[in-house]
Amino acid sequence: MRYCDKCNITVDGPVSYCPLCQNILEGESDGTTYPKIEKPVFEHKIYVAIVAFVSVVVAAMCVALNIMLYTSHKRLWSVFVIAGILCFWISFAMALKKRQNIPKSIVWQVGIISLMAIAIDKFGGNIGWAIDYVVPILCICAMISMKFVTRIKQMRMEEYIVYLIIDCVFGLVPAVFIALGMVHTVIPSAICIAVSIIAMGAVAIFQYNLLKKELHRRMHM
Amino acid sequence: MQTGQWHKLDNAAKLFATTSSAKDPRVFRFVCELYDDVDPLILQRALDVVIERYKIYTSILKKGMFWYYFEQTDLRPKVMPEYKTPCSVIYNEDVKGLLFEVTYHKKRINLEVFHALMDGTGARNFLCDIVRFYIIERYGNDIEPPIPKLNKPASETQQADDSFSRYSQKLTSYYKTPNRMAYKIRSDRLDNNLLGVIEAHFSLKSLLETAHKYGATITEYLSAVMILSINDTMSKREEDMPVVLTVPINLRTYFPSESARNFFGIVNITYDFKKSPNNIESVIEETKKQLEAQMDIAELQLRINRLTALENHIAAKVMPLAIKNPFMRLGNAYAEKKATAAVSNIGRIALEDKLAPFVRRFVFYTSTKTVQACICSFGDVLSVGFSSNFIRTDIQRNFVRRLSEVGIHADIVTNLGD
Repeated sequence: MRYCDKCNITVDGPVSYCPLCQNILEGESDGTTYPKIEKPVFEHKIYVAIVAFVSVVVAAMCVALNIMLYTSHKRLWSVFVIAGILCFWISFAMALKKRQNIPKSIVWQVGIISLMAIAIDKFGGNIGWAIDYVVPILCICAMISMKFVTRIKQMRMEEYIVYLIIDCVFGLVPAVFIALGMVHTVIPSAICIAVSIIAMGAVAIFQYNLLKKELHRRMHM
Repeated sequence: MQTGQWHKLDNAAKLFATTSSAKDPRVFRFVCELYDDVDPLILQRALDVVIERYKIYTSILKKGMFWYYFEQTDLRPKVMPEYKTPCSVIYNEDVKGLLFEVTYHKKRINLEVFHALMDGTGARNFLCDIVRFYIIERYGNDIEPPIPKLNKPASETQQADDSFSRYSQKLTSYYKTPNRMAYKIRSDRLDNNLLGVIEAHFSLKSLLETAHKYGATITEYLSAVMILSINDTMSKREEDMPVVLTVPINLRTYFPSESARNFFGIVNITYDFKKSPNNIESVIEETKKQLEAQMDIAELQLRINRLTALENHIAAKVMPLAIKNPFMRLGNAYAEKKATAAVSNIGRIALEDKLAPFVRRFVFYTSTKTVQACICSFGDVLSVGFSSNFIRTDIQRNFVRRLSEVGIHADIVTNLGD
């Protein structure tokens, strides 16, 4: 037990000076009551940093090239490259943040990538590829991958049923787009709507009790 | 209580769930220090038995559309060697894990709890049952028969009781005189949100004698010492704002309840050094006056009504959680501006006479954004657990020095290192 004569106290701790007055302690230490804790280290930090730097280099080169070649074709294509890189990073950051809860992550990715695709499409002349292809194909992939992931991780229905329902609701959004006349190629949207209705039907028929129970507690006020 | 069963959060838990963050995870730790190194196998056995008497603690926290809720699981806790800094984050919304941990290091058993699950009283009861069972298992041969039996726990319904709701009445008037802004302690913070813990252990007898000399209880006396210790560090200009201590009160002593969850109210002690003198007698007198006024059953009933009025308002009920959360965090940040520091006294911790000799002392402390002093006593030891993210330790130094000057000397244990 060590002693501080200024504070008149005995001290037990991984210090050679008094934690209260920073005076040098007298006496011998007989081991500490609190263990030494290593600072948490995110091992993959360096790889993330490298990819981030590469993105910055690619973006810078594209901007420089665009400026040099602007007079010949008068297009700001480097903006698309930068937008693409940004979208990748937003999606990647979200996946990293939600990596412990894959079904939730899938739902977020569908939402984010769809919104970004629609934004880029609108900026690039509103051709319609986002609403025609990206949104329906994303929703179908999400529903299929959710089934796979939950099977592989042996997740119980209760744990992911909410995210499955949200996904299926996303799958009906193409119906809204069709009704508003915003869709030119209907095949992907039609397939997506069908898959969504089938998935919801399967849940409602085979898991009715579970669904009712889960909705009751999730929606309680 | 079966796996899959769900229940709502109590009033305090709703706030803790929303405002938990890396800077203030809303986690507190209860420590029991023995005289021998802890045997992890026996500790695991003790935990396995005791958790069955507190099944409500095997819940996980989930997010609903409008509110958080608890869901009962068949997860069972595993005892581990201490591996994190005190009161680190326990609740992670993406990991459906238990909301408490039992760890050990050398002679200490630690119970770390996310405050949404239970309050100090609940944790004290839970830890004491674990310790009782551990001692009986480990030292049974050294105990003179008859060996004490564990008390029968409260029924599951009583344990799961949301006492805030049960005692809540309709609020007649929403008006409340607003509190003044309080003096805020400022300091640089330790790296990585480390919680700096300084435990001060005193002789209970000496403290009681000194407190009684001033006609005060331990809580009143130590709160006064805390206020003065803070004032010792304040400049004349800073004295424009009063020092405000928040003091949690166990409501179970006023409103009968066996709830194993949260059931506490917060009262304030406000001392204005611009208007009032800075001698201990004056501070104690003002402290006594304010505590007695607020610890009146009608006042506490009003406090319960105010706390529950907001969550029962129709606007709060229909607002989705995603929108409620930022509002609640804002409200919480605003309330924090009105408090300087906190003092929490859980009172005496009692073990059966035959088991007490195996325990050296208890101590507890909590995560906080300011400085908090948590007080408990066991046998002849009164332990004050100071916790803070701040680099500065002058308030704790003043506290210990003030007691040292009246002949009460501290044994200090700390996790702050070189």
